[in-house]
Amino acid sequence: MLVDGLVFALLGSALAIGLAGIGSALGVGIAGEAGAGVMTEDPGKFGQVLLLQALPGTQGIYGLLAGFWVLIKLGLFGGTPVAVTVAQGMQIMFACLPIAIVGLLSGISQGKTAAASIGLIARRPEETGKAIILPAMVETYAVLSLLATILLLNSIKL
Amino acid sequence: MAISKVKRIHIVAHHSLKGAILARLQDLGVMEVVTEENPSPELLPSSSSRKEELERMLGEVRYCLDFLERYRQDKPGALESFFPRPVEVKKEDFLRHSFSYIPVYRACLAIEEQLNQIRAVINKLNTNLEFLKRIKNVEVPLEYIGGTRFTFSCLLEVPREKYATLEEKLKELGREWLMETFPSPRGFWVFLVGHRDLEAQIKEVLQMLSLVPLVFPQAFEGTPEEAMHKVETRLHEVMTERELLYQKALRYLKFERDLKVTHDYYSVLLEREEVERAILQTRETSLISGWAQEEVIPAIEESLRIIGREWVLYQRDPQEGEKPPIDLRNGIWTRNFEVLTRLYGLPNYTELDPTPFLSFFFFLFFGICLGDVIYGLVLALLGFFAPLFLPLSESARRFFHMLGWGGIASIGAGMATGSWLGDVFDYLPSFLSAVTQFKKALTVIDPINNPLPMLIFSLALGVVQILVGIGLSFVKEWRRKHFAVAIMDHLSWFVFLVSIVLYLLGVTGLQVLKGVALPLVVGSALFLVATQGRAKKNPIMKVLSGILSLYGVVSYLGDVLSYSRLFALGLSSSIIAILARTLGMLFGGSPYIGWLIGLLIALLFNVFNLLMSGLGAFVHSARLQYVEFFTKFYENGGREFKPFGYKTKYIKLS
Repeated sequence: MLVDGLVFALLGSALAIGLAGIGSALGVGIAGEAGAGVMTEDPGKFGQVLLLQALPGTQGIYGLLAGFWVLIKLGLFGGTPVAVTVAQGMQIMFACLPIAIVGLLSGISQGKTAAASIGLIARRPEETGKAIILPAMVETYAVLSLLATILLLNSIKL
Repeated sequence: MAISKVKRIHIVAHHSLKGAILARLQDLGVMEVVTEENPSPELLPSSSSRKEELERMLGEVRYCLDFLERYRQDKPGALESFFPRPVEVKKEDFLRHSFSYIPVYRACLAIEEQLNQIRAVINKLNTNLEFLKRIKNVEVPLEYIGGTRFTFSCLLEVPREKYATLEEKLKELGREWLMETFPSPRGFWVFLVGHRDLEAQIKEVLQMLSLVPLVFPQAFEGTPEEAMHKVETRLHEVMTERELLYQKALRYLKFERDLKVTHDYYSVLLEREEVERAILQTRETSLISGWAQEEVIPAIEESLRIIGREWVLYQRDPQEGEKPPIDLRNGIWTRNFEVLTRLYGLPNYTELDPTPFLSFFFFLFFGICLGDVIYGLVLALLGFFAPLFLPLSESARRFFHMLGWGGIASIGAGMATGSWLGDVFDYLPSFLSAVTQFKKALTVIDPINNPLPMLIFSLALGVVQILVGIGLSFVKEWRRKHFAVAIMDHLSWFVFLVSIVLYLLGVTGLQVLKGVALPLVVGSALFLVATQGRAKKNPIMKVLSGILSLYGVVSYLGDVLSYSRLFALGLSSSIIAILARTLGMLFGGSPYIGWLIGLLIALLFNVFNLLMSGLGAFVHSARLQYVEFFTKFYENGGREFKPFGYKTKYIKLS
């Protein structure tokens, strides 16, 4: 029984890291394609483009953070592993879902917004500030889901 | 607030003084010259003739600079190209500028033309070389190919499988032909000589076998091997010639400084010329109009008096409907945050400058979001020391200072939440245990083990900022003497929200507040219901839209919840730091160079985390200002004050 609980908890951790990571990878990819297009015209915009391309990268970090938190909680990093029941394992898995799902989808969406913003700075480089704020609006929901995951994980007593 | 007061200025002067006045104004650099809107019909636009000429000259100087840039050997480093060091020039020398760029320009043009010719020659030689390489096995002097009076000859590439057929077909034609073969990658090179009488028939055979005689790009002498040698020698000569030209081009680099000064000198003249075009005139006078701060007007008058007496300066306050330019004036600390106001958009002239308000909140929020002592220290050192070593513009310097202050806030937030490079300080060797104790003594909240207090603190900051926002809009409307709007739309909400907060405090703990707050909640809610529908005519609609307006509380709730990101981002940076520490220790435990790998991994993770968390802290703190705070009171739409002065690209006047 002990093992079963751990399986669910690890699945949760893996989903958080994996799905949010996919979201970021896709988002950064989408933004990067747009950025490369802009830089063929003006390689001098590298700094601004890189900044915008980095924005959808945060979901992956949030996912990693949530997954890591689970591993710490389970005592798998250096400490003694904690015994986890099936119910607790599933609780942990569900707690991981907000950042896993929202991370995946918001990463893609933020990537598209960042790509559009890169298009904006291609024509109006003086508006970089505003161009950065638009993708950040999407990120709000990734931050909120990270918050939900953290609070949920914190409320599970092992 | 901190928007400086400007006056509209009109200088009416005799034509003869126009040039001198503009030169003085540009030198002072305190007045923005604009074209008069709706001028009276007797004012005519002035014509300026030198603009095209100046633009041409500027283009030529730029060409020289680009040319030199292309051939220079000492390319600037990455840091240098981001922050180019300006050329320092004394103002008197700059104004007495006398360098004639034309010889340099001509020389550059000539070198460029020669280089282009050489490039064409090199291309041609390379093509020939490629061609000759193909047929290098053919040991026939190439001048033999073509024919004589009685013979014709050609060179063919014959694939292995066609060779026998070719020979057979030719034998059928007679005996007045000769073939010599050499190996080729696909078969043979065939040097074919035939009698003129057979020419037509042989060509038919070749066509049937779809063999095409080789066409030469030009006439060559000797065998391909010999011809190749000649081409290579020539190529070498030309390359040497090109090298000499490069060196010649490099010699002109000594004029780089003069060219840069010339460039900026002409661009200053061009700007003056463009301003001159904005000036209206009558038969005898010119009208220079613009904006300037009240306190600099005496200085303008003073310097005009030196020029002559045939001028008058009128000044007045901005009128209704005019849009004066905006010049933000903030204190030595708050001005570092002006860039945030600029990013969103400058305020209108009648608005208040939000910089003083946002600067404190941004400072605080940035600190909480980054939330680590060591990261803060790194950022503060970078922000305050980089401007000392890099030649930065004023605005870039302020940006660095803003980051530096963000770092300082982060040091504070990190101390309070016990995040010193994550939890690295808990793992210090025992002789440093005093440091760990010191760290623990400073910790007020531990968000990792007990997140709720930090979350509540973040939301509370949100409540405070939103209330400040509503308060500011109340003050703004009150100052504009819109007392009813100020009280009914802003003060009422302020009281309503404060009383809700007090009531919630009462419910959760302080019982005393509950009794005070409840009547306030009800009272202010009723007041809102009574006043918010005042625009409607129908009394039922008045009440309904009044009640509906209370729904606005939901949007305030949403705004407050948005501040939870402060907590989440702060936690995220310290947890990634803990992750770095954990991974570092994991690898550090391995034998031999394990400690080095562990250290490198931890370092890499921390640098990455500092960059991403720093970016996140900036973006999200800015967003909270723009979306949650500014929407409560701020209207942008102002235009930056751009004084007419010396705008230079390469040089710095001293």
